[in-house]
Amino acid sequence: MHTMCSSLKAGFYELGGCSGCTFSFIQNLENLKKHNLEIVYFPALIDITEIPDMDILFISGAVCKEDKESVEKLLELRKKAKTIVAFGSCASVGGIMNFLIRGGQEPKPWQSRHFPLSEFIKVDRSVMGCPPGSLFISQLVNSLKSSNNKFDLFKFITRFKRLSCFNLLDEVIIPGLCVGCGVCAISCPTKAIVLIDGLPEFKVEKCIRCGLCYIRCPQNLKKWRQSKNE
Amino acid sequence: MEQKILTRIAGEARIIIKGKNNIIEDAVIYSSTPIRAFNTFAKGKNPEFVVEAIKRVCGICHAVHGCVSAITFEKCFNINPPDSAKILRKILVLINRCYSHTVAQFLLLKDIFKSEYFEEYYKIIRELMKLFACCTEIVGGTSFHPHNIIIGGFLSPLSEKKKDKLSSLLKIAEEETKKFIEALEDERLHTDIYKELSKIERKIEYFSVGKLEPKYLPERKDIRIEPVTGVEGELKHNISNLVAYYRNKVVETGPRARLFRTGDFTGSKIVDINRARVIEIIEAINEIKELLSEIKEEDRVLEEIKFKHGEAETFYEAPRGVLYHKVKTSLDGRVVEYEIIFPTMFNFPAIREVLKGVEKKFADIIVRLYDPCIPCVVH
Repeated sequence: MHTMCSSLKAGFYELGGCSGCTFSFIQNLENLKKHNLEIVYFPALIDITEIPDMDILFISGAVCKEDKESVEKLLELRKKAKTIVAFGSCASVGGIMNFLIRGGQEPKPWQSRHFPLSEFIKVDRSVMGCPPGSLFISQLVNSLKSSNNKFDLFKFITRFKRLSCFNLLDEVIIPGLCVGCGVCAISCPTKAIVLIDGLPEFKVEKCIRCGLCYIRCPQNLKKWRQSKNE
Repeated sequence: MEQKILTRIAGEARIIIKGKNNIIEDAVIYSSTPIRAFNTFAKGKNPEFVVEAIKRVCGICHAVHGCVSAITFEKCFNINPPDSAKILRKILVLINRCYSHTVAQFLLLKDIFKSEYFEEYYKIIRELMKLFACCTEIVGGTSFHPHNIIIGGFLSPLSEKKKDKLSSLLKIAEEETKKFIEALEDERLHTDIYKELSKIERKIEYFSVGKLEPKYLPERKDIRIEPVTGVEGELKHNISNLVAYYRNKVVETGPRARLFRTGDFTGSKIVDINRARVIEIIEAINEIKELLSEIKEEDRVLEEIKFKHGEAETFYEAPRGVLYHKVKTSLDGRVVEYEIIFPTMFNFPAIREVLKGVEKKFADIIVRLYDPCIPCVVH
């Protein structure tokens, strides 16, 4: 898609949320510059409020369906960027926002339903995490600059709209595919997974639906790579 | 009337300025970010989940939100965590304060330093942000939304190796912060706008409950929460935040209010709120050093937990000021009611007062100086 030597005009926009993804991204700024990403739009960093045309735009936070302004903003951002990256679990699969459905809070009690970006626009890449860590961010940027036809995890996972530890249970553990490697337990940001006698055990009340355990499972990765080759 | 989007803040906020001849008569700061409903979501949920969720109210002051939520549940269930767990939490919250105050400097850098000095101090602040994030990871398990904070205490103790690592990182952080403090005091490095602002004095009543853990307990009934006033029509429906007053007064809460309470600092210039922040970083580092000597790797850090019916509230000092959590639980220990009052809710009316009578060109900087952390206010 893009060549390694050309500089890419990039932006970051926080659609709503906790700002954790914004500051995780900021922590990786030097690393992104090494990848030739030139930040041209980032309201938390630069005093530019007009949206420029961009090669890549990272968007964090989920979209509130009852907020017309957010939906319109998202559609406008889509038009301005060649590639949209859903950055973080809220933007990718709803994350913690999946639980904030009760609404009823002043001064906007009607706002209650938050959705991943892909419910409203075409998303080109997703990166999960609460927030995504530096390793994932580097891998993602490499994937964005790669022009070959290799399996691209970040592209593949844009198809998921909701994930939780139950996806891992249903698709890996119950079918007997789990090898007890423990990657899911290491990945879980709330430590909701522990390995007991070589099998993951879930403390389901601590699952925030970030999707990390599911997408980092090597057995899933093997399955997805295979399906791509077939 | 002018309306503009504020940049170099965490989250999203706008300002409406009313005034004549470049002087602000009134200014309304608000956010239109959709509400996440953290005050209503918890109903019927398991307390352990609620603590994890509440860490995600804010991506900057996550540790303090998690700790205050855990403390409030513990009071509700009569759980007394081991002393070492309390110390570990305190260390984590102090690191969180250092990180949050450093983020504030990061957002203010362009306002403070002339362009020829910007890069030098940008490097120092970026280094400090990395150092404090690393310290958070060492103690809390992760650099964002630390998973070691749980009801009953702390998930894992701090090994001697980690203690040594933490001490060495804090030593570097202290040296870097001192360099930055020198630069903050050296007006030759400052932008003209910052120099002008440094001369303006404003005095708002201060509100604090102590330095960290509450020493002076206010009462919930003394806090009034209401919609933002002075905005009419369509715009009124666009505002997502509420504001708070203490004893019916506009109050400033945060670093200066805390230091004023203890008599450590009396600066009442507009920029002094930021000087108070860097003083607090040094204070926090020194306090962490002392606390580290009080814990051992083999200490017990977790108490048995049993959920039950109850009710509790906690006042605490978050980086931005006074934070309040209240919980009620049912017979099976599930949440019936949860309420959070955030410091920025007090600080929004305070900023509005400070802006009255100053030149319009100062509006953006003053918001950043006082409280650049918007996500919490729209929780």
